Amino acid sequence: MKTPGEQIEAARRGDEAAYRALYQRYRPAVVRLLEGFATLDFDEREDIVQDTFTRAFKSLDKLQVDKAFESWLLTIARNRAKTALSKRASEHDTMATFSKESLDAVPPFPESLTLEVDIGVVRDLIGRLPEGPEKDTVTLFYLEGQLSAREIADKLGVGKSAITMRLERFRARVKRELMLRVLAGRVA
Amino acid sequence: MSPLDEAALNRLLQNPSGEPELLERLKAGDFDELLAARPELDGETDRLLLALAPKEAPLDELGWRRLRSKLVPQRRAPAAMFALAAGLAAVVGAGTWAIGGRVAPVTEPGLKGAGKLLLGVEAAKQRSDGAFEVLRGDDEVKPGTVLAFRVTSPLDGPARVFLQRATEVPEELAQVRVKQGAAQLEQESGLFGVNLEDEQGPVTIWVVAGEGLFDVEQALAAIAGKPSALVVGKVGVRVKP
Repeated sequence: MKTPGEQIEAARRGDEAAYRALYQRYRPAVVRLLEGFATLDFDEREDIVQDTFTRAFKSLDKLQVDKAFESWLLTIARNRAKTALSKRASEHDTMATFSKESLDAVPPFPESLTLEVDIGVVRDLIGRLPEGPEKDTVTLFYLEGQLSAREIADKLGVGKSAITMRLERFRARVKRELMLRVLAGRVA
Repeated sequence: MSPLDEAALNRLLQNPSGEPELLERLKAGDFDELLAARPELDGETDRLLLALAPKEAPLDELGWRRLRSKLVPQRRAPAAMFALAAGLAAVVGAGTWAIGGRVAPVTEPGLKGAGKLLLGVEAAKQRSDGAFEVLRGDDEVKPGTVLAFRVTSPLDGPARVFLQRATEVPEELAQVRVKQGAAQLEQESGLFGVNLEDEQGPVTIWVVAGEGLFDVEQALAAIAGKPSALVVGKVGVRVKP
């Protein structure tokens, strides 16, 4: 079986089997990310999944570090989701809001991050959250990983937007922790 | 005290050791909102969070087919699903199924399920003059016949469409949505259709719907008649040259 790096390399050459393997491997993560946007409906989500993979596969030549593929893919998916929600809110503002968006741009991969180490940091962050709705929401979505944000809203009896906001708030904390680790690596 | 703005964050990110005060404020979470709006580390953050409960899944065949059609030159597949031309929408889009002067009964053969959980599925074939004609259950059609469908559903929700050749395992063709009541089966790009090119013998089109999301395995279990909250309907034709 080919490694993800080998599959990416084959996909650059237009290998259909490699596209298929990458789609199968990474689709669950893309779908799961989109399930965090509670106001996206099923059809919108499926369209974004398609758009995400199409854009990524057609821009593979720009990906310089193969191990950044998943991060890059998730960045594209998040941007597509934001664009879809923005379009829904206001067709007119879309270009202004996302004019800075550059979906094909591949961000530099921070070498100072290590998934295995950073997972421990995130678990610790969740553990230190005060008992309450945010911790319940984060636990259900990220730790248990079964329910969508929409389903969590139903389960907890709150609005869909509230769930998305709680997840985004926690995500901001995680991003801050990662940034501190990157900066620490840069200082060192 | 420095203002907390993009300029300050940029200074910090470019030279963290030269901005100790801003670094402390970053640690305190004062930059969280600004940081969340910026693209740096977006993908790494999501990758990390999703790795807490990683998921695997069997290949989403329909999604893969859609994606493949955008990436590689297409071979024509038998029983291809596709969006029917807008002209058909004009014919059947008036909310009735009056095609070729006939109004098909809602309770045609092609019902499966128990109690009140039933989907009615009707098929119409495209004639050589372009018009559509409603079929009775198990009507004979020629290879290459194009079918459109109307579904009578007790619920609104996601649905999966399958094609079954004789007694083979049904093959998923599409994910669509059904609406409560009677409506033409549609996908995002228009009316949903099936081309029976290269088919031969009995062909059954199954529609499985639910009030929430469900997967292919659950749909196949419902088709097999296992207890399920899903609603199932089918319509059969016999393809004969």
